[in-house]
Parts: sequence; C-alpha cells; structure tokens
Amino acid sequence: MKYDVVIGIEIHCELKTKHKMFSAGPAAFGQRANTCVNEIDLGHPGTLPSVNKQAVRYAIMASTALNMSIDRLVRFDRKNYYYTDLPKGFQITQQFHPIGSNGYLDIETEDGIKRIRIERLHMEEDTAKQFHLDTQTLIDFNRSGTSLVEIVSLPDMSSGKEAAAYVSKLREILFYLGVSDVKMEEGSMRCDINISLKPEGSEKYGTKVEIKNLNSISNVQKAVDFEIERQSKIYDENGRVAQETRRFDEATQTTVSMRMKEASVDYKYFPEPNIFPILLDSEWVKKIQENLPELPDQRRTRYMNEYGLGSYDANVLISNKELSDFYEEVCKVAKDGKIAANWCISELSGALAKRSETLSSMKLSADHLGALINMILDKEISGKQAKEVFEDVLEGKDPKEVAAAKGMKQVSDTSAILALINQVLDENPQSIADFKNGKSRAVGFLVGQVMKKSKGQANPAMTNQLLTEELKKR
Amino acid sequence: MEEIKDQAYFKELAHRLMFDLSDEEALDIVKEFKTLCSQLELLEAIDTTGVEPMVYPFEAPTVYLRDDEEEHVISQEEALSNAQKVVQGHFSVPKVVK
Repeated sequence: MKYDVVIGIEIHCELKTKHKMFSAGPAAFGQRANTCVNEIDLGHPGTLPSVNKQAVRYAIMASTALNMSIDRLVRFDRKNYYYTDLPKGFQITQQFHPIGSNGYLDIETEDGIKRIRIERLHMEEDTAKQFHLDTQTLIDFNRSGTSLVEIVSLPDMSSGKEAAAYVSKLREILFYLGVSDVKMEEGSMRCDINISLKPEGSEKYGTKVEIKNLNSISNVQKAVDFEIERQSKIYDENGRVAQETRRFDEATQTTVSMRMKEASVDYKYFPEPNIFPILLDSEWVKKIQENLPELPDQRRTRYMNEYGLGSYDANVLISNKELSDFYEEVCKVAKDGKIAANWCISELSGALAKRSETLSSMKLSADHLGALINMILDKEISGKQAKEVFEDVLEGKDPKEVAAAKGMKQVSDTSAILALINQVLDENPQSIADFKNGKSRAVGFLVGQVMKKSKGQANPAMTNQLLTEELKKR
Repeated sequence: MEEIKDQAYFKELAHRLMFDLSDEEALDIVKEFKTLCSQLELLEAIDTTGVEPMVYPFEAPTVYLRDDEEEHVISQEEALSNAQKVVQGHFSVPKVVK
C-alpha cells in the first residue's frame, strides 16, 4: 500500500554567547568538568536568574531571518521535571510566549521550491552533560544553563530528502547569521524528528514516532527513509506502530527503540516567577533587524547577478562559508568573477583536499590568487604556467615574483610570434606541402616547433591562429 | 474542589517522591489538607468572573537585560564541595537509567 508521510522537526541550537542564558557563568565547550559553572548553573538555593542580552539579540536575528514575527514582551516559563541533568528541578523556557512565531523557510525540492512553515522559536537553557557508566552516573554542569533556541517546524515535510534539505538550509542560515556554530557532531545543533504515516487518501494519521540522536544531515535523511519503510511494513502487515522515541544507530544504519511513551508527561508549566516580563525597546529590535548579515539566499542571488555564476557554482561556494568569503576577497582583485569561481572551486578546493588543509591553515592570500587570475586574463602567462605558479602561491608567494623567477612569460606580441612562425615555416617546406595536400596534422607539428623555439612562452592560441593564416599565404 | 484525599493517597504520593510516610504522618496530612481545602472554599466563594489572572505583583514590564561581558565563575573545588561523591571532577550519582 502507499502511504502519505508527515514530518515535523524540532531543532535545538546552542547560541554563540560568551556566557549562559540566565547566569554570568562562562559558556565553553571541551573544558575540564565543572570549571565553567557558578551557583546559578548548579541550582543552589537562593540564586536568581537574569537574561543574557546577546542571547535575546541572537534570537531576534534568527527569528527575523526565518520570517517570523517578534514578540517584544519577553516572558519565560518553568518546565518542571526532576532529573539529575537539571539541579533546579525545572528548566526555564518560553512555553506560552515564544519570542518568534509564524515564520517559514523555502527549500529546494525536485518539484521546485517548497515552503516549510515554522511555528515558533523560543529561548531556553541547556542541561548538564551526563555520562552513564555501569553503576553510576557522572555529571558535568559546564553545559548547564547554556543559551539555546528551539525552532519548531510545522509537519510540512514528507520525505527524508525534504527533512535533510530543511535541516541543511536552517543550519546554513544560522551559520551565516553567526548566532551559532551549528556543529551537529558536537551537539551544538540537535535535531528531533517526528514522523507519522497514513494510507494514501485516508484522513487519520497513525502513531507519531520521534527520532533522536541525529548527528549529521545525511543521517537525518537515512533515519527518515528507514523509518518510513519500517512503519509502512508494520501497517502493511496490519500491525500497530508503537508510540515511542527511537534513535538512529550509526553502526546498523537503522533506528532503534530508546523508550516507550506511555502518556505525555505533564510538566506543570507556569510563568517563571523569578523573571518579570521584559519589554524590548522597539528601536533596538528594529536596529537588529535592519543590520542582519547577508543571508545565504541573498548571497546566492548576488553571485549569479554580479559575477554571472550559474546556480551550481554559486551553491558550491555558498555551502562553504569560509571558501565563499575567500572568493569575495579574490574578486576584489580578479577582473573576472566567473574565472575566479572556477579557480576557487576546482584548483583551490582540490589543492586543499589533497593536502588535507583548510583555508585558515594555509598561507595563501586572496590578493595573490586574484593577481594570478589577472596574469592569465592579461595573457602574461598561459593557463598551464599558471597552474605551476599556483603551487607556490598556495605557500604564500607572490605570483608575479614566482613567474619572474621561473623566467615565465607568455609572448603575446604578434610581431614576435610572426617572426618565429616564419622562421619555422622556412625550415619546414615539407610541412607546408603536406598542409596544401590537406594533411591538417601538419599544423599541429608546426605549432609545436614554434612553441619549442619560444621555449614554451608563445601564446598557444595566438600561435595557432597566426600560423594557419601564414600557411594560407604561402 | 477536588474530593477529599485519604491516607492511602498521600502514602502513594510520598512513595512516588521516593520516601515513605507512617500511618500517623499520613493521617496528620489528611487532617491538614482538609483544613486547607475548607479555607480554599472560602476563596472560591469570591466571584472572579471577568477578572484577568495576575501573575506578577507589578503590572509594568521591566527592561533589564544582562550584558554578555559580565562573568562570574566559581572554582571546581567550590562547585564540587557539596557533592557526596566526586569522580574525576564530576558529581557522581546513582544511575537511574537502564
């Protein structure tokens, strides 16, 4: 039987604030256990939370980029539950009045652009990290209280591919905004997926299953695809899909059950009494909204209009912000944006991959690459010579100096090339005869002779053209 | 108003919170709870139709937001000073998940 699929995604994203959401404790990753904490993060009695201004700014930026409306009256609520990762016994969140609501983002699918609606974006605090050993649990409170936003989509997706496209697009936007480092593998961006099926044409959806532990975008797609197949099979055999939380298992590339959800937990939400409602200054909000960094979609359009790139090249650059930023620097010098893009995408990326390096670990300067591209455009050196020079440019050397030291230059002076051509023609009467008899291969041989005489410095395209003209004259 | 709760109800509630009540203690709580409920009944007699519930003592919103530059951190030693058991700088607690 065929089934309709509905998928909704919740994303938790750690904000790049220096300190925590409700305390002045430092926010850090990978530090020694329990060294980035204070009394508030440890939930000591008598402590009071205060709201991090930068976290609110980031939440406004993200909400704006996701086309949401902003609630200027910031209110927080308590989500009560008792567990060792949260020593206060409750998490401060925005259950009733999220700062951002009713937004969307557009993803590219095979059938064109699809709009995914986003219900809400709210601020909250992260929990402590726990290590469950055989007989005990170890707790590190460094992460406790870290500023987070949760972004909740409506169930507008219907395949693994769409789910992956949504997560990838959202990740790209948050990264370009600079509000989070969105590292799925390190957990600074975490993704929970809700998925349910119904027979095609039927009204009622089946049981909703939640999938956790998705630490990469490709795993999002794999997990959803697996889950669609698993649930379809159960329904095909007239079985019942259990209401449960599953996790993606990297080793088997499947989803496995984590826990059953018998009934929904009652968190006894109520307004947080320790934080009074905060009214944001409308000018401040407006200023944040008007000064958003360039978003990936805007940059994509600009690359296509300003530099004449195709959508494929533009996408390749945009998907790697470091490369894309570098490309813009190259374009400040290089006279042709399209050729600069080719160099960044093929030569440069290839060289980096080959050396297992990143741009920041290399001495290469954007100005030098721009200058090198101009040397090709100005016919100072040939494309082949440029590739040789590029090896040294990667090490931080100036292309002009490298070309000069190697004695490279390209002769593009018509009279100089003509002189060489006539010399070669005079020495090879047999080749002229061959050409007249229709043997076009003779041209290749003669060009080769000219190149040899010029020590490889004659412009090959010009040589070819001039030689053919000269041959016809003889 | 909810029905009056008995001893068994409070014993079960205590059990769920990981402690136990003696019969006497449970009986005390039942009595106190009855008193409390009758007091609440007095409050319920007040007509609150059309009155918006109030959450905070002040109606006016505040504006304070903490700058992300401020820092307050305590040492690992201080952080762990209340811990019953410490393992490699971590709080060690009984395992409650399978």
